[in-house]
Amino acid sequence: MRPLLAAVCVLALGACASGGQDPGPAPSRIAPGLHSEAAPNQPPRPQDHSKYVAVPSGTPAAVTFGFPLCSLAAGARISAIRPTRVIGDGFSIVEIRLATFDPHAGYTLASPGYPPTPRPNEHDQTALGAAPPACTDKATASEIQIGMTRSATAAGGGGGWDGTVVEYTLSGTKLSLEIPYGMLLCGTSTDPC
Amino acid sequence: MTYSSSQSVSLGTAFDVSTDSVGWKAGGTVSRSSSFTASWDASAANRSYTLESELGKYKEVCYIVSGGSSSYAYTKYSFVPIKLTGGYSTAGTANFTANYCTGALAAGTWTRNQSNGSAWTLSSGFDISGLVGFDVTSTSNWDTSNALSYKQPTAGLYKLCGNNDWPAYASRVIGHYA
Repeated sequence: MRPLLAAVCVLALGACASGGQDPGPAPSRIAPGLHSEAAPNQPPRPQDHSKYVAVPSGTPAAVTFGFPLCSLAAGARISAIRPTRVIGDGFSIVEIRLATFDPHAGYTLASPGYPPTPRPNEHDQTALGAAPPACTDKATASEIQIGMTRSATAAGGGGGWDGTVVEYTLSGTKLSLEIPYGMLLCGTSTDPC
Repeated sequence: MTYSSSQSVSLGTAFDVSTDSVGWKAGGTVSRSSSFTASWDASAANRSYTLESELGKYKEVCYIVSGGSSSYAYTKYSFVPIKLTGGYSTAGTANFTANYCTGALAAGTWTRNQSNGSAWTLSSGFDISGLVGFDVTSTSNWDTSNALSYKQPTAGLYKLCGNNDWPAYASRVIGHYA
């Protein structure tokens, strides 16, 4: 049983993330109650990965990263979102939120600016404490959005989250889901760039 | 797009079943690996990436031996890939339907090297239709050393779409205007 399904990566709710964070204990990649298209049912090998190295744009220059996340079991609720590993220190997190929208509008992989242009019937809420919609709800898509901008002190270094851990609770049990998707800002700490 | 020697490629075989009045048929597959690395330059064109393989035509002659004498039974032929040669190239590919799309992308580079996504299949892994009347397929999966990258030069203009899953797991991926 997987209470939550997450497709991408997340950052601590409403917080700023920077280099040097302790990623904490290794999470399970098969998480009951949550589901993400970015973390399919089979446990990936440690090297399995996809990543987006983005160039921020807009004013202020920012990027919105995202990954699908829905609930396989009723009652799954997000308790924290943190990086699996941090690369560089030239970035900061603007906000982490849960977005629901018309599924035909397309998921966020990495969109220019933050906040991104709203999609039809989009509703946004802070991710911390949120309960993603059921995966069986075909009329509603849901995703985690992470707004990321260059840090004021080390902007040229770039960097970001190399994978995300979504922690959540289900029936009083603390669980986690790892999303093997790198969300990075272009800089000297990233490849390419 | 990069290919590394750690990644094996599944290649189709063909064999002659003419004695069964069927003619040539696609057979099973064989796995072939290599010791070279290939890297294809970026391109804005629709394309497929090809690895060159040496293809052997094998002749099998069967005799029935009985009581100290032998009698001819049949002769069959088969095509079996021998090894990857180290050659690689690109080929054009037609547009295809891909409904699993992202939103408009930020400028930057997306890279995928997951091994748990869908394998890609070339419908004509070997173009031997002139020899046997049909082509045989080749299949390769994603691997950590087998990476596909898409570079988005401009923010907000393009999106990525997968044919049978989201781009990170699809067999085929294509870029469209957002």
